[in-house]
Amino acid sequence: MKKFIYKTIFFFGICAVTMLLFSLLEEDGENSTEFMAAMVDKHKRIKSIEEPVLILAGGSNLVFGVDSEQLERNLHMPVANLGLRAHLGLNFILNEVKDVAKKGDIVVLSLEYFMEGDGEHDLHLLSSYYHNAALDYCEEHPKGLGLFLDYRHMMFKKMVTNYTTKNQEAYARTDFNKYGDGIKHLNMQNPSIQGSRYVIDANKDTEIKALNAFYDYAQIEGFKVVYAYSPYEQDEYQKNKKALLSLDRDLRKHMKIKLITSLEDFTYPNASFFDNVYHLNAKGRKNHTEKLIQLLRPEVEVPSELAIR
Amino acid sequence: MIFNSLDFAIFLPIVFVLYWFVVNKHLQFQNLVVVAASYVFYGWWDWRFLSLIIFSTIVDYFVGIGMGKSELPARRKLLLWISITVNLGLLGFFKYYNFFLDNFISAFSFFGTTVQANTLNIILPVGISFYTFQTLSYSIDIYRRKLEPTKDFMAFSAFVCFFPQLVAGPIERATNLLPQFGKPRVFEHDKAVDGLRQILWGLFKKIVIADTCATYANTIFNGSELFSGSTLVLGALFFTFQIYCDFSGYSDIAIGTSRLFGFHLNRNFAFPYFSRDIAEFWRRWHISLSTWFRDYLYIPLGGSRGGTWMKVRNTFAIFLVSGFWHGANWTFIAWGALNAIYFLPLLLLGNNRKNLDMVAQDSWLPSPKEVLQMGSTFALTMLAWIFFRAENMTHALAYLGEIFSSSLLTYPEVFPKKMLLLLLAFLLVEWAGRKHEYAIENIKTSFHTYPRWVAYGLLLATIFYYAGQEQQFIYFQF
Repeated sequence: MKKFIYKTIFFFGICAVTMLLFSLLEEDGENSTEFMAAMVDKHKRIKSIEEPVLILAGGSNLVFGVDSEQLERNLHMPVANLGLRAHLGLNFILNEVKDVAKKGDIVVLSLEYFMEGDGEHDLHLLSSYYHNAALDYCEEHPKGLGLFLDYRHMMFKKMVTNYTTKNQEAYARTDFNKYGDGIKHLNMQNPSIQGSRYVIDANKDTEIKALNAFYDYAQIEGFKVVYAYSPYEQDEYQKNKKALLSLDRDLRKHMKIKLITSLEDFTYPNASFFDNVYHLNAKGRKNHTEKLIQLLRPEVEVPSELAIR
Repeated sequence: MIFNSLDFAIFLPIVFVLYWFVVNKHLQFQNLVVVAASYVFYGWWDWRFLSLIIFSTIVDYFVGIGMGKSELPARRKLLLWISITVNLGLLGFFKYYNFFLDNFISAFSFFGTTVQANTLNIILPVGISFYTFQTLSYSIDIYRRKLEPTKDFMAFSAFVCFFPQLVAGPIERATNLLPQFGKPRVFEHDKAVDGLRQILWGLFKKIVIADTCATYANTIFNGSELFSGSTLVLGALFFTFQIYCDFSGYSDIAIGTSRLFGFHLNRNFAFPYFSRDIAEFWRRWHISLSTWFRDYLYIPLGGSRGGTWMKVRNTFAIFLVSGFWHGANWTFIAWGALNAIYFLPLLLLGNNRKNLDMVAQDSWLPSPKEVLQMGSTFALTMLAWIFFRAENMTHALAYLGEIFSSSLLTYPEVFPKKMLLLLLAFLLVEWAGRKHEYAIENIKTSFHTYPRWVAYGLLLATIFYYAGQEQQFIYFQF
């Protein structure tokens, strides 16, 4: 019996220590070069601007699909693009915006259609090293083994993944410009488009509630918030049209936040996309940014003498 | 409490220490620890449902005692019917009430009559189909004089609620498990190590294979109208592996855990996807349920004796009831019927007991004929799983319709190469270990100590890598 217990404790102990050591091999913190670490730069930028800012918040559609410099030039307002990963989830993204938005800001929310409410806990844990609001979020939403062990578990998984899969190009911290836009893909050939694996569930009651709560918060804090759909591939739009129409109806009926786009506004030909149905390529990005400027102009109230005709 | 949770990882060592170190000198106290631990394990979901288990335990205990004391056939029969009514009554109410009511209303509306009836908001107690069948077998075996009733209430309670197999089997017969609660238990090092190894393999099957397959199967089944036939075939393939690894993984963990406490549970899966015909598949899949239906339904109905009509009737009866046991939905009944249709030709031609041994018993590779037989059996099984997984009959038929369309020949929209490679690797490990009780059982004789420990470590690291959110086992809902 003793032999069995000693052997079991020894085996599980050795395994735990080995995995912990492996997890420590993975680079993290302020100096990490990985994609999610772009959060550090995005937050630095937004906190360095004192005047009202146009904040873009949402998933990776914003990384690939927006030219913030052009937005800034046309709308005469500093722009900070916080968009990074849709799988962070709506609640996490809204929490992140709450941390940085101030009076006079305009927040443009652009979530991918699958709009996960909770998002992936591993991404939250990873983010917890990059800004305090993420750390607070993780502490307020505990899961699994507790923050320390969950973090090490996530880092172990990340280490294994990094060693076993090829790094995707255009997905590094260095691939962003100072506004927070992804730019590496602009000069790359389009890889094959991956069909959306996310079947759109039209029932977003919980998410709409969260959006409405965020709207109320914005009213109190004195910043404006509008909602714009994400760019979307034409074929995928046709496949999911029924669910999207239902989602659109619900948003228009129940969401307090102003919806500034129609479903068709940001549905683009397949050739406009980079590596998935939400990620625009250079041509698509240019087109999308121009449309976004037009739709945002009435919201930003650009002085008439500055408006570009 | 589920096996793949932190709660269970804490619970198991506590119970182990209590069982072997604190109360190890007293059999009654050991059984008491088993009962208390099992109630905690079960009550973790919803303590209110403990009352059902306790009620079922009390009824069957006294029914057993009553039958043991009586020699009057009428009285014994009455007691048996009390047990059957109570157990099937619980099952029927909690599992089938709304189904029958809905179909009753639909049937009347078909004939133009509107019937007003309210369905109830009933929560299905976890594992009710398993423990009711286990206690039923106890009463029936006493009635048939195959078993002496026990007077030891604690041992009987432990038999009914034994936590490793309480919620998803294997459904144990009293003839096997109950006597084990009456004998002093001796800790055996090799058996305990074997138990841990089987738990590790079960966790691998559940967390690495089943849960990963589930993400693809769910995506494809939930959005089946969006995908081509080729993708739907992949969806069915992923579900085929998901259900096998989920359920057999659970059984492995249950059997391994029991071994840690000195108990032997019967095997529940014997590499069913290497079967060469459907009859062999059903001898290898969910063995404890198949044999239950064989012994308590098929044989009493006459089995395969009698004329052709009798054989056909009994075969359909057992498969339809088996389908219905899985859930109150026409899809499960269709799944059962389809399996009956697969099985009947073998039975009628007398070929249902042709493949009794393991495939390629004396060689490493199967013959081309065996490959063909295994492939066709696997394909038929996969086709039947579509009914099992579909939301309703319309969904299942639309799914099948798309598979058998021209889009079957297009490149699938979802094609996870790594996952398919993982499945292939898994199949190879299963194939290599097919002559043993579970796939990695032979690791103890094939590897020296250090490589073996490295293999276990890698297995554990893989489980750790894939572990994330705790996913329920599919069979809990049955």
